Amino acid sequence: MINSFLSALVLGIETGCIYAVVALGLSVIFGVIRVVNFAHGTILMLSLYLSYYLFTWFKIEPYATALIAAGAAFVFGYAVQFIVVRPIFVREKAYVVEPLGVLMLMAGVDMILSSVGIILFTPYVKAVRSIFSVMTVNVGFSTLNISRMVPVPVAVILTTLTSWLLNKTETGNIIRAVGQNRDAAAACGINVHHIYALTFGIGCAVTALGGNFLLPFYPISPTIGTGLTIKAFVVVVLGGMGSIYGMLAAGVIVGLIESISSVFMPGSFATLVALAVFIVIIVVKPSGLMGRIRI
Amino acid sequence: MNSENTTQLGLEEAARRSRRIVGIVLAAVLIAAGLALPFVVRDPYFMSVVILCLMMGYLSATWGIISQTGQLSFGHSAFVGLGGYTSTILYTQLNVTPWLGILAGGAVAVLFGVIIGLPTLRLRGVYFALATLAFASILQIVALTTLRIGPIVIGASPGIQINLVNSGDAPQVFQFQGKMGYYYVIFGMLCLVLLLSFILNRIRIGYYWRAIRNDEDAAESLGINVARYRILGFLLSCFLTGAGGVFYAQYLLAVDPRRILGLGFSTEIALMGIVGGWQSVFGPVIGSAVLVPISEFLRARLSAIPQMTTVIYGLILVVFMVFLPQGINGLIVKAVKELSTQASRRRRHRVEKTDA
Repeated sequence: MINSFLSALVLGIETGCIYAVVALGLSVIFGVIRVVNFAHGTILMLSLYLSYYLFTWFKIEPYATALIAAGAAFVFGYAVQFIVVRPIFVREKAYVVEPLGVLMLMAGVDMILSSVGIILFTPYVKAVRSIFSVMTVNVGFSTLNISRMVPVPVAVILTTLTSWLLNKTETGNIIRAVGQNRDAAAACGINVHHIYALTFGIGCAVTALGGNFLLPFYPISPTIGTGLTIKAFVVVVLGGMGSIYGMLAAGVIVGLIESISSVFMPGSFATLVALAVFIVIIVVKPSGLMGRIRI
Repeated sequence: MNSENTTQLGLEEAARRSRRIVGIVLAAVLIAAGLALPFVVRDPYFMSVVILCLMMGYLSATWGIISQTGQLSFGHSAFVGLGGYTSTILYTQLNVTPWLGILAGGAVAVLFGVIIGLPTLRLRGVYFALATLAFASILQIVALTTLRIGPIVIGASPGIQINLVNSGDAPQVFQFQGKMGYYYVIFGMLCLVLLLSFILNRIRIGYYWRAIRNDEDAAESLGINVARYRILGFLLSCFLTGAGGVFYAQYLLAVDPRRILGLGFSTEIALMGIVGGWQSVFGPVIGSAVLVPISEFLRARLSAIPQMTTVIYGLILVVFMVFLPQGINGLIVKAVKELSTQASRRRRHRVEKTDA
């Protein structure tokens, strides 16, 4: 009993860090642009497929392709914001853009991308068999897979990096300025739409970079995107929309809730518990654990 | 200057009057045509497409009631499913006729609507949309995995089938032979919802909704209880959607959790509303009248790659959100206003000439 509990604890932290990374990108985008990127998980799915094909065709290890995938996701995210979302921002002159319209818009983008994914990659599940997939280490109460452990430090590093990027660099200052007051930032000579697209790109890149460490142990299919997006929503709401470190804490909490509850009940109910937590958080404390944004 | 203003006002008044007359005539013609349709068209496939149009129109019209308050439900299939499951469970296990199930289904949908809506509709922004999405996902997982809750059989992933009674000729339990019976039921339901929506739009609550969706802060500062009117709209929407779910279950004689509680179904309902014009009374029906035939056509043509339909749906959604956020209805309203004002001006002009 205690062994399975300990295993669940480890698994929860591991999965939680993946959730944290996906949510981190979502939170960056929401914090600045106020766009709920419904296609976030699906963009991650596309970048995972990019890595998968780089691995199967050119035998490049998934850990090495992470940067390529992140670059591709950055370009893609930049393009999505600049081409698809910008017209709505241009039309809406008011400071707070109608986030609901953009939510619907991104749901449309998600529909297109995930269906194109099914058409291009076939709906079947694919898995990368990298050398890291089979490395294990024995820690007494169970045997741990190395590739599952890697996302934990990655998530911590990425979170710190993102926080540094947003708070300590010139670009970060500009991004936060735009996030606080779009019109005032524009009056200071900042190209708001470039910054918006940049932020969107960064959000996608962060998620793709961290998400890539899923590949050695997580079978992918074109339909994983929506599930990941909804999980990321849960984490973002729990951690507080727009916060950075909140994502790491909330991701781990959601991961633990899932893994520990799956010790006591069937697997599909673990997701249910996470969603129930989501609704409870919205009801009890909608600003989340470390929320900055006024409700 | 002053006289010019009054002429302008008079013109608008005249234009409004002529629009009203045209509207009444148009409604009467459409209702008459709707009533006569099953006698003119006998083709069962055509009728099934028409019924699908009406049903999706009904569901997205009820979805539209909540969007008229400036919020957006992302998981409206949850309430369709609650209605359908309630009436089906009542009928198959307690032998309660689905006609009463309409009330029960609506009531259950309202009950859950209170649980979801009461806390989340007090918040601004995306929380309500995300909460409805999560709620629909929860319901689907429960329905897919649970065989029974206590004495109530839910049926897990296959859902629940409804047995044919008297080979379908049993109006007392909401079963009809052929399409005609179903057609008249859904046609009547749709007319009722549109009438209700139309009336609500022209009384106090409708003005409150409009004020809230245009500017929440301004509405609140004028003393409108934003949360209360949103919740009222949402609960009304829940009830009517639940009732629609009962029709859906009876028409298909089954509830299938994959479809009736699915995220795809929710998006489809919202899509019809957006294409037609969300936040308007007749928009959702226009949307379904345009989209359902297109999707049926695509389904038949692209059966080799079924995902193509979703791609096209997504493209339509993106194009409308970017270029036509008011939907087809917005275009029509604009054109009609323009035309009627022009016509009144021309008439006035003629009258002035003959006076001189």
